Amino acid sequence: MENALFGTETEYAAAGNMSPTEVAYRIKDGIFGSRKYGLIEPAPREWGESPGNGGFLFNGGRMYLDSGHLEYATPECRTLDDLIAAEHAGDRILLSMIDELQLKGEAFFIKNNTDHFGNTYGYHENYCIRSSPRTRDFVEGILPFLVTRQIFAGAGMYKPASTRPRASRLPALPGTVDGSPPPPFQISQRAPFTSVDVSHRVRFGGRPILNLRDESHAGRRYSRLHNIIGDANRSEFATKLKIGTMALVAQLLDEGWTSEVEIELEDPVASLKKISGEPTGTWMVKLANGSEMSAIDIQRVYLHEATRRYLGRDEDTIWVLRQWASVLNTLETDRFRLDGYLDWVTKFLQLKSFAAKAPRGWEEPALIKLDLAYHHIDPSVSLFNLLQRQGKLQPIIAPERAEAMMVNPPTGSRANARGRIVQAMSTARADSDINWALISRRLGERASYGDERTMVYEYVDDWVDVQRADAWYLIPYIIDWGAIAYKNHILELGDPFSEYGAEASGYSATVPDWVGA
Amino acid sequence: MTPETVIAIAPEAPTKPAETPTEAPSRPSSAPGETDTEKSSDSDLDDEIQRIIREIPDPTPQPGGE
Repeated sequence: MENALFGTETEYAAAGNMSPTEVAYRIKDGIFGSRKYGLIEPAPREWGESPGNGGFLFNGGRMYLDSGHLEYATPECRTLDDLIAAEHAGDRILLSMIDELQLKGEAFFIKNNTDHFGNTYGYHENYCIRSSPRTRDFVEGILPFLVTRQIFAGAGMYKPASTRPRASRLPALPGTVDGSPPPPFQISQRAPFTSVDVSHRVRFGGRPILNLRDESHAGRRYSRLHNIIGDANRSEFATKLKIGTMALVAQLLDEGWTSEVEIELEDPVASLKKISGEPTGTWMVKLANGSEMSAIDIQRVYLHEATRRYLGRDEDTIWVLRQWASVLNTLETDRFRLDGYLDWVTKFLQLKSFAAKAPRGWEEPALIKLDLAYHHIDPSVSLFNLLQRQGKLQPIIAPERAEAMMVNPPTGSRANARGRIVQAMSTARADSDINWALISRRLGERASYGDERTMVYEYVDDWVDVQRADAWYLIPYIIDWGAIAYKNHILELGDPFSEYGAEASGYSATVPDWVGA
Repeated sequence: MTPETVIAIAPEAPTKPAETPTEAPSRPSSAPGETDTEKSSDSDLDDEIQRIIREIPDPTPQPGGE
C-alpha cells in the first residue's frame, strides 16, 4: 500500500497440562534453543524483559514474553497480504515448536483477547505515520473510526451473564432490530474491557480506546500510531479489511483531513460498548451535537474521503475501498450474509446453531469452549480451521506464503535487512558469545517482593548504552527495530521504508569474523 | 476491477444509506494449488464440533496482558 507500513503484535493465550505461563516459557526456550527461527537476545531491556526474555526472528519480527504471555510482533509490512502471511507465520512457528517438543495435545495456543474469567490480553496494531498521533485533531478524527470499526473487525465473544468482566459497563438493554431479547454475544472482545477514551498507558489507570504511546523506533521523522482496541481476528478477510481501513484512515489524518460531517461522539466509550452489545441491533450512537448516527454511516464518512483521495492508486487500496463499501452495504441490509467473511458474524451463527440444539440453549456451558475453539491455532482442534476445511471460509493467501514467512522477511522495508542479518548472526552462532552467568552477576541483583525472591536487572536501552559502558564483553550484540549492533559494529536502520539491501549483505558477510573475536 | 467500477459502488452521501445495489463481498479466488474440498453434511460438522469441544482444554485463566 502506498505510503503505508504496518505491523501487529499478538499476545497469545495458552492452555494445556501446564500453566499458561509455563507453556509460554517452554515454547519460547524451544524457539531460540533450536536456532530454527530466531536469535536470543542477551540484554535486559526493561521491566519484565530479563536476559533471554526473547529475541528477533529470521523473518524480521520478534518473539518474547510479556506479562506472562508469549507475544509475537510481526515484521513491518508494506502489503496487506504480507501482513496476513506474517501473522500466520507466527502461529506456525508456535505449532512447529509444539510438535518438535512433543507437546501436541499438552500445550495449546489461542489467538483471542479474553479468557472468559475477566482477563484480557492484547492485539496491537502499528502504523508508521509522519505527524503526531497525539494532536487534538488526530485524536478527535480517529476516535469515531475506532469505535465503529468493530462492526466488521470484531472477533465476537459469547458473553453469558456469569462471565461478565469485573470492570465492565455493559449496557442493560442493547437495542435489537426486531425488539427481541439480545443474545448473550458481544461483537468485540476488547470493548467490554475499555474504560477511557485516550491514555498514554495501555492498561493501568484504565484501558483506552486510543493509546497515545509514540515510540516511533524511527527517529523524529516518523511517528508510530499504536492501536490497542482491535481484536485478534482469525478470518483473513477481516484482518485485511481491519488493517487496510485503519491504514487509509491513518493517512487521511496524517494529511490533516478533518470531517466536514459532524461525527464527534458524545461518549466514545459508551458508544463502543453499545455497538458491541448489539449483534442484531441498530448500531445507532449519540453524537456530541445531540443527534444520532449509525456506526455504518460514520464508517461511510471515512470511506467517502478515502475513496476521493486514494481511488485506484495501488492494489491494496483498490481492494480495501471496494470491500469496505461492499461490507458496509451488506451490514446494512443483511449482515448475516457476511458469514465466512467476518469473524463475529461467522462465530455468532455457529454458536446460535449450537445453542438451538443444546438443552440449555444460549446458557449451555459448552458454548464458552466453542467460542474459544474458534480461536485455537492448532488446525486439528480449531473451529475456525474446521469451517475452513468445510469450505465455509475462503483463505486470502496461499499457505505456502505463510510457510515461507516463517524464516524469510518481507520485502519493501528495513525488516528485510533485519531478518537477513539475524539469520546470518544465528548461522555464525553469535549466541555462543553470550556469558549468561556473567550477565546475571554484573547486571542482576536479587530482590524480595513480599514472599517472593526474584532477580532484578539493570536495563540496557540500546547499543549506545553498551558502547558508552564499553560492555561488549557482557552484551556482545543488541538488536532493535531501528539498529543492529555486534561488538561495536553498528548498523543503523533509521528509515523504516528502506530495505538497506547492500548494507545488510555487507554486514551479514562480515558477522562470522566477529564471533568469538 | 477498474477505478471507474470502484467509483460506481462507492457511497455518495455519508449521512444516508448508499443506494447502490447490495452485493456480498467478492470471494477471493482460490489459492494456487488448492483442490476443491468436499462439503461435509451438517451432521458431520456437528460431530466434529463435539470432538473439538472434548479435545480442547477447559477455559483457563490467563495472566492479564496489554
